[in-house]
Amino acid sequence: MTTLTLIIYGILIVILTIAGTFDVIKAKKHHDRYKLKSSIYAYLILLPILMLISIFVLQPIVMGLAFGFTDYYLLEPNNIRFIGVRNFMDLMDQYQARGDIYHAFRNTIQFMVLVLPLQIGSALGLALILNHARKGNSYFKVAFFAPVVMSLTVVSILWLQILSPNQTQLGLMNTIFALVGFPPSTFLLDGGVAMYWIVIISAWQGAGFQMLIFLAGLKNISLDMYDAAKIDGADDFEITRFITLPQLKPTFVFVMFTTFIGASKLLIQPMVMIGFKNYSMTLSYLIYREGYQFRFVGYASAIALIVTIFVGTLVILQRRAMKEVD
Amino acid sequence: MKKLLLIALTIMAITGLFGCEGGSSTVNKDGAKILNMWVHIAGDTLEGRAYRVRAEAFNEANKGVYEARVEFIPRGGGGTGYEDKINAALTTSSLPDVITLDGPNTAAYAKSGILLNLDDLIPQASKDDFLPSALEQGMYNGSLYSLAIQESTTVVYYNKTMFVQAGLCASVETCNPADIKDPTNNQVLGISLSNPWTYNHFFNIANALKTHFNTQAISLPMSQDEMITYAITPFIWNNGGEIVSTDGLTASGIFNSAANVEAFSFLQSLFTSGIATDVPVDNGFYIGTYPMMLDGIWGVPILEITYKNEIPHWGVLPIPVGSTGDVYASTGSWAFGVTKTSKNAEGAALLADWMTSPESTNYVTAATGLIPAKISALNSNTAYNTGVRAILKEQLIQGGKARPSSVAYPEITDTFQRAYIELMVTSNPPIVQAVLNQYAASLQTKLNRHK
Repeated sequence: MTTLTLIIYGILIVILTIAGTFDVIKAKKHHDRYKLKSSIYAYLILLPILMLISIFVLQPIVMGLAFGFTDYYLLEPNNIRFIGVRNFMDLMDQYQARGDIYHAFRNTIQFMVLVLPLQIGSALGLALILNHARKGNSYFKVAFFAPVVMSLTVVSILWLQILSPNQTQLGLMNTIFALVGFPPSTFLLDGGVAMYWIVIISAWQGAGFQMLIFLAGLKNISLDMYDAAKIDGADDFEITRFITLPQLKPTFVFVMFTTFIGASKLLIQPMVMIGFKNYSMTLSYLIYREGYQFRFVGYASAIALIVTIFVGTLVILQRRAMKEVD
Repeated sequence: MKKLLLIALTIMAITGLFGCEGGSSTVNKDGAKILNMWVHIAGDTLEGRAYRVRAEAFNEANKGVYEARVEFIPRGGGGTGYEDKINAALTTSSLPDVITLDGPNTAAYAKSGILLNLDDLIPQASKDDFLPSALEQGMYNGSLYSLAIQESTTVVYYNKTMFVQAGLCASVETCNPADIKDPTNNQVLGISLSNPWTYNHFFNIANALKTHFNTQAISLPMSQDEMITYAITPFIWNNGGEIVSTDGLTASGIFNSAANVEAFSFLQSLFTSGIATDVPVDNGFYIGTYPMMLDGIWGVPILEITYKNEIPHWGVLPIPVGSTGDVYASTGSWAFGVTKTSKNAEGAALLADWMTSPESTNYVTAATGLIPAKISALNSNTAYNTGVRAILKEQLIQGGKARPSSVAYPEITDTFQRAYIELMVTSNPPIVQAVLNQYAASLQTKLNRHK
């Protein structure tokens, strides 16, 4: 690992030196003493942040990529061997055996497909409602944003209590069910519905943040456009359909990509509320489990690499689709 | 002034960073060699204090030669905290001389070269004094790598008052295992370890209790953790099944064997017939909701002290047996191991041996309520001569069996827990063979990584 760190630093220094040398040569050629001095200062100023980026961003990415092709076992950190694509072949075997990777992919995709419209739809709806000046708007903004500032672990524990099926400590939801005469439900223990609850909880927790971004987007729309539409006789629906939503598109694209990437990293909610089960494991949960509990860092890195390619491909496809709509 | 301050801070930061590199001294001021030891529990708990006292006794007995320094690193949920610290120490080569480890981790730690082979470092008399199950837990490839601190086992706890009310016993005074009746024919079963009760007896008794009290008869573990593997594996073993092969690297055909399918089907029948539930009431046995509970030996002090008013009359039954008639019982606990990186291997082995000596195991088990891991300690402890503790001791000696000794134990126990949880549901139970086939195939691909 130390060797890898040194290699990364070496590459960084080489890049900086080459860039600096080019600048110096260029400055000397033009007899520009001011540029020479400012270039040196610029590189010196850049150096600390570049070092930090290399330590905390570049190095983990490079190591993650590299480990995917090794047999790195957590208990044997000094015995890491290159094994080619064996991890990927093992993952294929796991997938064919309907093992963990199969369930993780299925659950993650299911979550992404369900949470995206629900969370973005809720956020947009709330933003459109709160965009009009009304009494008590601030209260609602705070109320809708409050879950965002709460830790996901806290939110998960809170919902765990609400959905508790335990007879001695019946959760709020089952208490309401009992009051209206419904039979009690096992909620998160039921593999058929557990993911839907995770989707609902995640949308509830995250929608407040997207709502604020949508609100900012709405505030940026010029009032002149609304006035012009009104003069032309447009009603509220037409204004929303032809002015608000098209003008919100850049915001919408940003929200969609960030929510999409966030959804692909689902971990805390199933981990805290359910545990590692076929119906609750996600790709991030599997990476954690393989890397830390089963100690196969190489194998976990291979999954991470596949996830990166998977999410990256979907993002690119989304971007293309959005461009085609334009 | 500002420049000076900046320079001073920079120097402090740099020296602080490099200061981390410096290791602790290996010899104390009296010239005694320092032995660093990590323990998985908080120092202010009863168990933690017991380790501290025994380490201090070691220092007293080896004054001027060795000094044991204990660091307490509490273990969090899912084994985090302590294990994370060990993993981190591995990457920085900063493991202490002696560590505690969960018994089933022995194989993985030994194979990875973390633990030192103790075959020649521990006296034969000391090795011979371990309970067979405790010794088995510490072995890997025929060699000894870890020394058990204490032992444990699981039993079926039963509420004598409720048994009498359901007509399974004549009175609470005469409601010992040998006096319990089979409700289908009213015959006294005479349950003992030499005359074990069968899965059929167990089902009939539980069913009678369920019918009488109109509630589930037994609390079975349903939280997805090690307790499931620990408590449920005897039901597999007692039916002639195994989880994986002896070398711990084959699951296909073993995890989904006919014996395992039969054992899991029996367990599933408890849930589908309403004898057990997948959403058990917390402390259901202790508060008198369920007449039976499958739990470890730690239930004994809880019943004797915490719930003595709620459940004044209770007893323990051995684990029932399946088609083979063999009695196996779960065992295992934490152990001491010497790290391969220790510069004082002999001293470290001496410390590990001391911490698991009859005196130490008696002292520690007095705090934890578990069973001493040394035969001589167990024999000298009169508490295990009569009553429920005698049954626990007898079951442990007669049928104690360690969980699979495999480098892939984390994967094995995870698979077992998930298969159990998936099968033990009260509504729409899946087909046992299909579920076990799927998990066996998945587990096999994981085990192949270790080959």
